[in-house]
Amino acid sequence: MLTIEREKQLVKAILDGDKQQFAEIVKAYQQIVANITYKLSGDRLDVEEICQQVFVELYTSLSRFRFESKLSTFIYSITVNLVNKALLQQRRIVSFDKAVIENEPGGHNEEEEIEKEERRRMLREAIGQLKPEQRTAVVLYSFEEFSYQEIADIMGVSLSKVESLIFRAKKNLKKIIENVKQ
Amino acid sequence: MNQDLFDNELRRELQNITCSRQVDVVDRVMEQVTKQQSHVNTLSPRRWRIAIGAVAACGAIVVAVGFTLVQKNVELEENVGYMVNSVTAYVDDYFAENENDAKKRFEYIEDFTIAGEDVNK
Repeated sequence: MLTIEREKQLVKAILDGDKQQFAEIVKAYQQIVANITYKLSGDRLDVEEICQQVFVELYTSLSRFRFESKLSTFIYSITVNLVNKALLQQRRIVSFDKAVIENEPGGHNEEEEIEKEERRRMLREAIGQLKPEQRTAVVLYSFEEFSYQEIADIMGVSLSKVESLIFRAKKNLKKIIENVKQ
Repeated sequence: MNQDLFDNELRRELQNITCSRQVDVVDRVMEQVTKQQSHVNTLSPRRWRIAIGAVAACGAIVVAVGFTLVQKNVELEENVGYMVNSVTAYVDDYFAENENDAKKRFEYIEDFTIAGEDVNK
């Protein structure tokens, strides 16, 4: 992550014609852009392709950026829009079937592991069934570094709408999972 | 499941879903960026077209308004000229007529006065 001062320096340098400075921005944010893309789309989109599109889009719209928000917020906003647009074009339900999940430490008990894996599978499927806005809000909510206000800024909606979206997403997830269990 | 437990589990689970491979798109992005013309203070072709269109539309409006005004002005001048001429003619006629009247009256008064003097005499 870059500091706001560093972001300003880089943006100014790029706008003055020093394109090579853009590489620093890409390096700093590419992994988090990849994670947001992956969490939002499951295995339906090519993460690297979306990352590339996000940064090219950022470059072309950089002259319009006025530092009213953080550059990172602007980047995540582009990411969310591009992913949702690409998913809409595919008209498919997001699936996490092939998602690679990092193993949590501990839990060597085989039975316990199977149960955990089953819960994860259900949750992943339930997330895939949410409406795009609810899924976006709940996915961003899972990032510890994003406050509700930042989620609102990224999504371009009000704070109260974010609260409502997350509340409804959780409620729907619970309902979907309970239906699957029955 | 308790709502709080569910929330915690949900958040933990979402945090666990992560892109496992390290993404590196720097070279690909920079290749595309260097291909692009510097966008500093420049307009995209689409914006150029919009800008040229807007200028042309404004120019057409200015020409149309100007032409209309000139037309109106000519008509106005013609009308005013006609009115001035009419008024001048009327005034001339009026004065000419009145002058005759005045002369007549003057002559009448003069006659009367002369006659009066005569009477008085």
